[in-house]
Amino acid sequence: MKYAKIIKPLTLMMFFCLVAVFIIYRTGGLNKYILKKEAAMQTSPNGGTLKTAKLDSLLKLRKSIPPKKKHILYSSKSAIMVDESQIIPDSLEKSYRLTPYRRHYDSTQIFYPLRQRKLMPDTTKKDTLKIKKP
Amino acid sequence: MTRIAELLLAAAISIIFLLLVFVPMEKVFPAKKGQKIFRRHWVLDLCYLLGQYLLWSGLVLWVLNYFSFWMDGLVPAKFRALVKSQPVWLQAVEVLFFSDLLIYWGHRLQHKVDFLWRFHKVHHSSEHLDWLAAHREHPLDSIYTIGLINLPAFVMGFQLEALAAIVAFRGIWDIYIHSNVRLPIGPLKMLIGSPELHHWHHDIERDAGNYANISPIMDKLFGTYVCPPQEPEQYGIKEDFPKTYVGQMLKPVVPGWLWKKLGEKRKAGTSTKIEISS
Repeated sequence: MKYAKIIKPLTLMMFFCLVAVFIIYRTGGLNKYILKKEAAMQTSPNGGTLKTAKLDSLLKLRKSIPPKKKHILYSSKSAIMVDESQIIPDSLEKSYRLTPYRRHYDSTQIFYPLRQRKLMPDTTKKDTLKIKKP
Repeated sequence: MTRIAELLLAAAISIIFLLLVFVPMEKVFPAKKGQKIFRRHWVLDLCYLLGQYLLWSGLVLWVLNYFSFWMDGLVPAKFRALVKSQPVWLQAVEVLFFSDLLIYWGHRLQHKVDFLWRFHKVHHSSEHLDWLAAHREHPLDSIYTIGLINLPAFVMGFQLEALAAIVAFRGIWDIYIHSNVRLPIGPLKMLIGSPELHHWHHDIERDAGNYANISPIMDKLFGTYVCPPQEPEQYGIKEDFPKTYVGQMLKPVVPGWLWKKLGEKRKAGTSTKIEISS
């Protein structure tokens, strides 16, 4: 009986503490202790992540474009611990690199113009910004 | 580290974390006292958990991101400007209210409409409820559910970063309501979902009620709130359903006639083998 009296409050305390830790982690509160290279969630209103890793210039340029990744409410079955931001932008980009014209099949603009320009095959061969207008 | 190694590490950390959070609770406050941690079909549910981390979550999020970009172009800028002119707290309340409303009705439809039930019954096929069973879900069902929950935010152009704590809380609480825990929370259960309510949703009857996951307010509003004092006798579905991961992934997407034909062929193959061996 005494044993149960100790175990029950301890279990409850541990449960609520771990839930709190999870929430703090997901809101980015533990970034400075856990992650060294990038924030676990977007911290600026335009969606940029904190970057401290050394990247090559192309990657820097790519990352300087605000990624249009959004936070998503999960359904009951998928509280994912991993940060999806590390999956989504790359997979999206890979897909659009493979099929650069896919954006045309509806009228919606999917990428920002700078990114679009980078994905168009002709602009990879010549710099359209340098072409003088007649 | 490669992408696969990163995903494996994330899955391993997640499993350890979820074990730490839920197993002590299930042991100390069990809803079904006789239920073991390694109960029947726990490997199947583990496959679902790993499948989500390693295969499906990326695909689901890709589709949803694509959908949200599409919505960005579809919703008139004037409407977005009107939404943004409101205080942030009001936008947040609107997003959460409409999310709950949509998922409530979307969930009711999943139980009513046969086409949606095809996918949703994967989640209901679990005969034992615990934190691991919460992960049993068909990826197309995930797209539908997560899409509906996020639709108000997509339409309004609301950045869910502002609600990061609520988003995280909802995520882990959704696993909690599936866990084998019975912890009465008194009048709070009218505001926040609890396992005792959601377990009744998983009753063997297809339309048992309690369709709202997080807050039972919608169930109260629309008359589907159910809360008997005891646990349901049996979880699961009344229909025949495969017991393997591949079978459960394929059954909802394969036409009924083809599934029957495949079943007959498999049975014929088995009987031929038995005849040969005898």
